[in-house]
Amino acid sequence: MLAEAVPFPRNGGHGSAGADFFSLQFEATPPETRLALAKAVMQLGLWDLPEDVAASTEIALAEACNNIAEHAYAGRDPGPVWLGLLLQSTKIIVTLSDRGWPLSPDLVQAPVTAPDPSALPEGGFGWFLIKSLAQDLRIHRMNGTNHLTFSIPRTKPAS
Amino acid sequence: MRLSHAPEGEFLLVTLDASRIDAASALAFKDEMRALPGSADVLLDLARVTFVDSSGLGAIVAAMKALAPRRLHLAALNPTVAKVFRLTRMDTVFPIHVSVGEAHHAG
Repeated sequence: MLAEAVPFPRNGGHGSAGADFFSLQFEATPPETRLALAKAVMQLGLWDLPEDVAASTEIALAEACNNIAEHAYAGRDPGPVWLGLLLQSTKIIVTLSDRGWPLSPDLVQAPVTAPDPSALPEGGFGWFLIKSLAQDLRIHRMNGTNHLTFSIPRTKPAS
Repeated sequence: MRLSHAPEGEFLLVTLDASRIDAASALAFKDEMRALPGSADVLLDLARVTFVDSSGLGAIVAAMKALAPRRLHLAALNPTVAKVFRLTRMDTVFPIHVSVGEAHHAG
């Protein structure tokens, strides 16, 4: 069930949003995650971002949420996820928090190589996509809660 | 998720009734793709699909392997879907067409 938003002000139990922020709490199940992503993408639409920036944010956010559903709460009941989006002049800051298993800080430090396409991989794309798109990736754990933060630049990097 | 299919030219044209191939639907997608009848190459029309995540991408690869020796072609990727394929370089694995119509001309 979608519950009230934290830590931002509450708004009728459906998360909250302002001119430059959006937050939502949901259960780490695939259907709830899908619904939460749809709402986050609607917010990105309201911000009228360049298509490529919105696409990068959606992809990185979706993969980070999937990781929480699949790994943070692996082997235990799905728990809450707190999702936050903050619009700044040069970037979008994404925060995700969960109360699942500790995330390894190695996820941030270690380089992630792309799966070899010729091996026809069926997985291993998630962290690679996040690392390809996200900047300022940080993970910390406090009081039994994982916090993942990253940003997506609003200007398209030269490529 | 439901797939519908119909012969179209040299292909079996497959369309989805869903807008996402993601963690919530990847398994169903894979199962339906594996059950496609016939022996023609498969053309998956992604025109209605707005998002494919890593689970969905893995399911498309799994479907391609399950269909072999039939080839799996993809058509009409939106910019976000195309970006996932491009970043992972999985766009090198599939014949990708701008549209279903273009796939026919490409043969």
